[in-house]
Amino acid sequence: MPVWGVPMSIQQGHTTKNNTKLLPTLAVGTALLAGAIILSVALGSVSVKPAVILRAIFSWARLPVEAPDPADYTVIMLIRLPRVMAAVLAGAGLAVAGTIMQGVFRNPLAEPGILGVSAGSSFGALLAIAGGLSTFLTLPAFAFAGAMLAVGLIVGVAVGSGGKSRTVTLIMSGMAISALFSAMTSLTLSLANEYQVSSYIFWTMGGLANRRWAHVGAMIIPVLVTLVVIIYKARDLDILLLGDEEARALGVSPLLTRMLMILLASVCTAAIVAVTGPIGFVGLIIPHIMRMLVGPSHRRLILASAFGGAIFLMLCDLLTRLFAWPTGAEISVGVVTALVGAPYFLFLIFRSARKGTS
Amino acid sequence: MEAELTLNTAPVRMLCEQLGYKVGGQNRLTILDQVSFSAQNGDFIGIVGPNGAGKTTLLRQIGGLLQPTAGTIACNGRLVHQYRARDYARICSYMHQDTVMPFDFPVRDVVLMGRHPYATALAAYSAADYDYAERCMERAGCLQDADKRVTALSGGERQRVMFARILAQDTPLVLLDEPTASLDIRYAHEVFRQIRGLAQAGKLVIAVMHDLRAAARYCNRLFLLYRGELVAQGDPEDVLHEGHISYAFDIAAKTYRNELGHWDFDLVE
Repeated sequence: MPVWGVPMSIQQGHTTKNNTKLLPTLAVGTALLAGAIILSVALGSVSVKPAVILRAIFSWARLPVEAPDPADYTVIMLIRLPRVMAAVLAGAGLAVAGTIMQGVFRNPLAEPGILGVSAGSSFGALLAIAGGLSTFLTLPAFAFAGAMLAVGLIVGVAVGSGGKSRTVTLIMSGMAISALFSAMTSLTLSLANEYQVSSYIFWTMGGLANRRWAHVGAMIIPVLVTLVVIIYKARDLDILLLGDEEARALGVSPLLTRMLMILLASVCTAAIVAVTGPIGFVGLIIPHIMRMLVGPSHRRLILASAFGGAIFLMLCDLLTRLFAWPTGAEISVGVVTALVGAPYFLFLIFRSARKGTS
Repeated sequence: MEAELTLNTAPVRMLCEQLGYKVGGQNRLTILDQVSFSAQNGDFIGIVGPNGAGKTTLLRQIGGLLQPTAGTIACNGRLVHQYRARDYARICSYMHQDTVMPFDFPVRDVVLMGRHPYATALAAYSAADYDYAERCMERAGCLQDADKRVTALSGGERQRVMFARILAQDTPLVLLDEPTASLDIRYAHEVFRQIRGLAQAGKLVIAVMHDLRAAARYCNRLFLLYRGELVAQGDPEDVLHEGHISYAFDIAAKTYRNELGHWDFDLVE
C-alpha cells in the first residue's frame, strides 16, 4: 500500500521490547519536566532561587511556609509561572496533536494544523485585528472560532461527499478549504491599514510573551482531554496504521476512530494556536524524536510526545527571554523552534536518504 | 513449529443467498452475481477462478469489509454488516494479500494486534496475550524475527508475520487472501498444513487460492468463480474437472493423478 509523502524510513533506530509500559516514561518525563519548569522560572532578567520558587508555590497553595518577598512572589506567580505553564500546555498539546495526525494520515509529514486549523485561525485572528476587536481574550476567541469553522467545513465536505472520511478526501477538502481561508486572509490584509497588517504579522510569528493564567485556563481542558482520550484509544491508533480494511477486520471502526481523533487533535490545536499564534515544528519534530526514543507504539509515544513537546517549547521560550533580557529585542518563540527544528529535520531527511541507498 | 494452541472453535454458520455486488454509476459493472452457498465449522474452502472473477470481492463480503448491493450474507443468522466491528472481529479474522505499515513496529507488537478485539481499552496486553502471540509466531515460523522491525522484513517474512497475527486473533471463522503468495515452497506447504489443521480442529477457513494443485490437495471444498458467478462448488476433484477448467480459464487442460497419487494437471498446447 503506497503512502503519500516522503519515505517512512525517516523514523528508525529505537530499541525497545515492551512498548506498552507507561510508568518509566511517566517517571522520567515528570522528573525532566519538573526540572525544566524550575529552570525556566528561575532564569530571566531577575533570577530567583529554586527554593524561593517552591516557597511561592506553597504559599499560594496556603501551605504553612515562610512567604517569599512580595516582589519575587509577583515575578514568579503572576509573570513567569503562567508563561511557563502556557508553554508546557502548548508544547504538549501541539506534539500530541502532531503525533495523532501523523498516525491518522499514516504520514510522517502531517502536522497539527493540517486540517484547516492554521488557515482558519489566521483568518479569525485577522478579523479580530481588522475589526478593532483585538483584546487579550477576544483575539484568541476569534482565532479559535475561525479554526473551528474551517475544521467543520472540511469534515462536513468529506462526510457529505460520501467519501466515508477516506484520508484522501479529507486531505483534498482540507487543501481546498485552507486555500479559501488563505484567500480571504489575503483579501482582508489588502484592505487593512499598516498598523493592522503589522499586528497580524506579529501574531503569525507566534509567541508566549505576556501570557496570563486566563490563557492557561483556555488551553488546559482541550489539551488534557485530548491527552487522556488518546492514551485510552492509543491501541486503536496503532491498528489504524495497518490500513482501513485491516483495522476493520481487527474490530476498529476506521471511520469513527479517525473522526474522533481528527476532531480531538484539531480542537486541541485550535485552542493552542488561538492563545499562542502559530508555532511551527513542535508538532512535526517532537513526534519523530520521540518515536526514535520510545518506539512507534502510540500508548507510550503519545505520553512521551506530551513531555517532549512541553519541555522543548518551554526551553525555546526560555531562550527568547534570555536573548531579550540583555538586548531588549524580544524574538518570537516560533522563530526559535524553527531555527532549532528546521536543521534537525534536514538532518533526518539526509540520514534517511543515506539509509535508503545503503 | 508445533507449539500448543487452544483454538476457539465456536459454532459458525455462513449463509449467503443471491449475493450480488455492482460498482460504477450508469453502466454498472457486475463484480458478483447471484452467489449462494452455506458453510460451517470444519470446512477448508478454497475460492478458485481466473483473474477478475471476483474471488477477493467475495472474501471481503464474507469478512464484512464490503456491503453487498444485492442479496444477503449472514453469519449465525445475522447479517454480516450489521455486526459491530469489534464483535465481528471476535468471530472472523481476515488476512490481506499484503500489509505495509508506515512506522516500524516490532514484529511482536504486530502479532499482538491480533489480540486487540479481546483486550480491554486501558489495560496493556496481558502476559497471557504475550505468551499466546509467541506461540503463534512459533507456529507461523517467524519467532526468530520477533524483535525485528516489520519494515525490515521481506515480503515472505512479512506474510508469515501476518499469518501469525491471524492465529493470534483465534476466531472460529478465518478468511485468507492468497496466504502463501510470497512464500517459498517449504513455508507454503507448512502454512497450508497449519491452515488445514485449523479446519480439522473445527474452525471454518475460507481462502482465495491461486495454486490449483494446492487447492486440490489441502482444501476439502472448492468454489469456482467465473465472471462473478459461482459456477461450481463441492468436492475439489469434481470442481477441478477438465471441462470446468477449460470453461473458466479459457485454456485446454488435462487432469491426472501424479506418481504420489495427488491431483495434477497440465496444459494442452
